[in-house]
Amino acid sequence: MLARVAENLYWMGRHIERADFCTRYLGVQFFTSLAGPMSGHKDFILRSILYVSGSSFNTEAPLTEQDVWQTVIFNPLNPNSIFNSINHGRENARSIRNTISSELWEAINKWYLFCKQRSHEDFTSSDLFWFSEHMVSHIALVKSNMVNTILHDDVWHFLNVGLSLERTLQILKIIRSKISDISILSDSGAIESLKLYQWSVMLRSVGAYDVHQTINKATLMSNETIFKLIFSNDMFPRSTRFSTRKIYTHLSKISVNSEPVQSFTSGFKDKMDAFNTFSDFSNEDAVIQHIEDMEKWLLESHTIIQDLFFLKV
Amino acid sequence: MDRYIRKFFIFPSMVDILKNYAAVPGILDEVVTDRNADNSYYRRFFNTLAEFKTQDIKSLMEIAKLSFLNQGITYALYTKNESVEQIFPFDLVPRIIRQQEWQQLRKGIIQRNTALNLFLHDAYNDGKILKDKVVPKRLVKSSVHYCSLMENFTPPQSIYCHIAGTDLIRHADGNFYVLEDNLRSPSGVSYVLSNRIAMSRVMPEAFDNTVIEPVFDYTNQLRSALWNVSNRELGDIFCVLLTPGSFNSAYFEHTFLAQKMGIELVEGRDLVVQDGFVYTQSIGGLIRVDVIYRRIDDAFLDPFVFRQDSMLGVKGLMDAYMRGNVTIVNAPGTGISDDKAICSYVPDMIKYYLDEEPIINNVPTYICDRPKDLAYVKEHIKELVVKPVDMSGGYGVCICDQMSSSEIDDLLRKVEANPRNYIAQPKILLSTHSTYIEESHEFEPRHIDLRTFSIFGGEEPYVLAGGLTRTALTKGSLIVNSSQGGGSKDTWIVN
Repeated sequence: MLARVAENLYWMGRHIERADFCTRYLGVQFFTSLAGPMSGHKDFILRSILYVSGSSFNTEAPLTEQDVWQTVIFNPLNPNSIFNSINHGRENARSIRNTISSELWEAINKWYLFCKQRSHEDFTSSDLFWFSEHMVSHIALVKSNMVNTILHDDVWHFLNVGLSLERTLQILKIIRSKISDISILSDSGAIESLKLYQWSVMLRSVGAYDVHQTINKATLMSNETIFKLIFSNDMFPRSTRFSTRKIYTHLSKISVNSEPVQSFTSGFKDKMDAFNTFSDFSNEDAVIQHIEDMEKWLLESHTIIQDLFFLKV
Repeated sequence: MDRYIRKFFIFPSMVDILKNYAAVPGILDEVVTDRNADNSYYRRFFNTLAEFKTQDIKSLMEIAKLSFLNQGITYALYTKNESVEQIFPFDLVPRIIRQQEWQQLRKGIIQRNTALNLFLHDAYNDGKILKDKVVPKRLVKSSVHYCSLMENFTPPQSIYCHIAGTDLIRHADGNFYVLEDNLRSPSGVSYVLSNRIAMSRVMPEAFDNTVIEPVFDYTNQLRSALWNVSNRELGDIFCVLLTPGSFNSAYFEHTFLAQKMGIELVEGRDLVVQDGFVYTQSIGGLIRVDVIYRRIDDAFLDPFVFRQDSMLGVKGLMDAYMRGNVTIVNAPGTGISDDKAICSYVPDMIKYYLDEEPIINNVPTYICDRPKDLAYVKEHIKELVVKPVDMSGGYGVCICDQMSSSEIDDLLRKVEANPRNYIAQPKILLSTHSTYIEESHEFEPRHIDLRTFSIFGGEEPYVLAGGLTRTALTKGSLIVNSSQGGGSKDTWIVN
């Protein structure tokens, strides 16, 4: 496989997953806030959405929903807007169109066209539900075509290394954001139900709410039950344990057996195993440190992947 | 009533969808001409189309457009500020050419491009045709596409032009003529294949009871030709398609061809030359490349010997080529043959090399570099079409009877300042063809041409059945190029 193709596959996976997470977070955060205990804290909700999307914003100025949707979803000048993530993913796919299936390309292209065609200045909150529903359908179609229409060889492995690495980073980012949100709410004397509510939003954003309730039938929701699911569950696809294992699985199957690649892969596994033994869930400081360490490790891994496999200029 | 029901309960009285169709007097309309013939294929087609209401036809066009858009079958159109992805407009009415006529065209295309390959070898080696003054040496050597590096070099199998795009037009006399040759990187073949797919998806009924020559063997034929011009054994051969990248106007075609041939699509930055061999950078190291089907111009191929600022090419590529370690398809320097001034000598080349009469004639051409021709051009300029010799895509074409006096004066000044750079041709009224016009929701006559695609270097010369019929969408316009707002049709060779 060409080094440039591998790089584009890796980034395609990352951009698609980033757009997926941001779309989910946006929808869950906004709609669950309307009728929940956070209904009087719209500004807080909008700031949280901007933070998780990675969009820069004026912390002093008041926010309007319409501006936030433009910034987070459509703004072509915001490198982290959902549209830009899709656009970058599509450009990655377009650069390697002969490598991926027509079905996968067409699904990505349709997703891009859908988002582009909806991009207009009078997009309001009442467009958001319909928009989110369609976005989720497009994402599902893209991911289904990834699984079912391409060979599960190096193409698949690079795509999944990128996707799983981005997924892990996004999970960590959402947890970090929620810890921060709860801390702000605590400082302003918010009641316990508001804090719990933030955790339920986090669970819903990663599609983990139902799973959490299923595996904790006889236990009340707490930091510990949540962290245990999101960090340590090895059966849940959006836990960091599951996602990092997936990175390792795909890395180890790439058809390059050079010594540097083998050394990196085994080093990655050692580090991953060490991270996955973390269990100090009741200690919030330890959790924050764990998140920071994991993020640092993943970003270092990204650099090594780049050096080992991608195009040397 | 939906299409399924209509298929089984055909309305007895169909609206004549061509009732307002008015062919232009003095111009050959291919639909009208054929429609009056016995066993008219157009009559069959329009009878099928007549089963559709106007609204249905609009819907079919919308479905076709959406299908092209979703598949990303687009080309980039460059405006002053940005590059916009455009669908190459597809017309529902196919152009139909009968097998007997096509076979004659096919022979003519092979004859012409065989002569052109012989000319290229001769021009860069012994130069016999130049010494014999059949083609002026000065014209060849002064072509902007002349590549002195190719002198005394013969590529594998003596094939210079592996892929040729010969543009044909049909004149009012009913005969086809060659308008121009495209011997560098002719584009458009992917639309031939995509149009056939679109046509079969949108109007499967049209294929009933009509045997149409298939087009899908093109990529297999091209791949075989690439293998054949490699200097290595089958099994070891590594072919790539070299693209300028995803921002190039023909990028869709590059990905399409690479995918259908199962070869790697590479950019210049993927390739590297080491010790006279070309390699591509893979995740596991370097892989030797044997054949490069390049879709970039000569000037950008190798910054060591051509344009030094090229970011698209590969340093040292020409050295590897000259050593015979890699084959470049089409060979560098083939552009001298699609210099429009030299192109006018092809009938002479056919006589010189093959001792045959040309099967397809050229559109008469006045070479402004010849004083006698220049005098004629100056005197008759209002009746002529003036073209720069080295431009394609319809750029720079001046249809003089549509120009103001001051525009003509400007043009004459340019021609007189650099006569080598211009040719002139009589205004040929390209044939017209029924084309669905969205604005009027009517079928109207529009001018068309035909870009044919032929492949050399395989077991035997191959010509893709039909080719790309390009259609002007503006009433009365003779410019059919996509870059100038033209569209295309599926082209059927029927038995």
